[in-house]
Amino acid sequence: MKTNFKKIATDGVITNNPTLKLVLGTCPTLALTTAAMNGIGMGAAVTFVLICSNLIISLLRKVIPNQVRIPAFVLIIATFVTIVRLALDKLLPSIYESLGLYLPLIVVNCIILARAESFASKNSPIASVADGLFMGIGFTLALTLMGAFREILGAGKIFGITLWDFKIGFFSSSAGAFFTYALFIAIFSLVAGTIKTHKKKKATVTTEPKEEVIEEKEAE
Amino acid sequence: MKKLTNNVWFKCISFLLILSALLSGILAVLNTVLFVPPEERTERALQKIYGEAKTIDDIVLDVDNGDEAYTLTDCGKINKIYKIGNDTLYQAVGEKGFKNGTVTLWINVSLKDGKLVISKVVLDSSVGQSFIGSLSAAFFDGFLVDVTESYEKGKFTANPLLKDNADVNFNPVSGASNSGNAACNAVNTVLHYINQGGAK
Repeated sequence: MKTNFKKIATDGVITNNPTLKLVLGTCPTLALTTAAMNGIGMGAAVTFVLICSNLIISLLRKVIPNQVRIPAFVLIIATFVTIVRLALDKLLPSIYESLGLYLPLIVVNCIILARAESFASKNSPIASVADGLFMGIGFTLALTLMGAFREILGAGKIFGITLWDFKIGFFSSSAGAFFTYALFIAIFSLVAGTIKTHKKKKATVTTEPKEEVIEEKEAE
Repeated sequence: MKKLTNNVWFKCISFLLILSALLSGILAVLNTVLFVPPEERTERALQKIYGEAKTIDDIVLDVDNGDEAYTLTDCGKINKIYKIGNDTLYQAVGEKGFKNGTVTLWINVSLKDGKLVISKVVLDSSVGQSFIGSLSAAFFDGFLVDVTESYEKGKFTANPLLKDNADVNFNPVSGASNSGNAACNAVNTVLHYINQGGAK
């Protein structure tokens, strides 16, 4: 079966964006988006785990007994999360420290388990890797944009570089995280809804003459 | 035997055991490759505290070398004391944080103009403190006091109920008041150690 990479890519980044459309992985989204760099760090870690776990689960999909598929998925995911923790601690200690508690919590991130169960366990390894990559990109983009928004308004900085002294402390707080998340979901839904309506209208306009032709033929 | 190997649960358990063994093997190898030795952690901590590489002149106390930690009951303990030039660097663990967790700090005590002052406090790590990130650099700067002058009652606190027994009161940090209190306890342990005639 031919893999539709275009559909996988648009699904992961836009149509089924894990953060803004499926509202999965909300715990790190709310807690870590105080800075844009945190978004990139967390997004990269989740993307790595998604790609690797999707690949292994897809390769083993015919071997894993159906009754124990969830424990098997969790074992595989936990292994890759541990690898990410070890690698970050050794190579990028500052990011390891900033992600803190939320790094081991990737194990229970709904996005990863959901993709393992709904996609990787049913599709080829190449398609599963692509799915992991684009879902990870969608997650990273959402987290980075939210992080940048909160960092600019809450700390007057972007990627740690000071822009101005003006700060709104609310955006650095937990309440600010919920507000920002709601705002981003609203904007995303509005834009996605507008595009959908526009496409529907376009489709109706192009199909209308055809219907007239059919009616004319039937009348004849 | 054939009946057993065809049993679904036997297959399931066998699969999980084999998978666990394989993944454990991979992790064991990677753990050896990516292990961060205590010396490297200390170097990182010194870099973080001083902004540059520093050499330890003398190790007064180090639990990693088998020394016994200096413990102050219901407050905290000191795990490491290093002499670096004219400074003394303490690694202290403060107790009674959020859900009885702990906060570990690096506390640098310097001798300036004949006075003993806390010149820098840096967060090292924490256990179970979800909102430790709420403790900003400004919060830790609140500990930078003249030790000899401020040590009448011998305490810092972020707990409004204990303010009458403390020299320095912190405003509780929203969402991290208990973590702030554990940080205070780490500094209090060091103050107690100095007051008892420990390394100055």
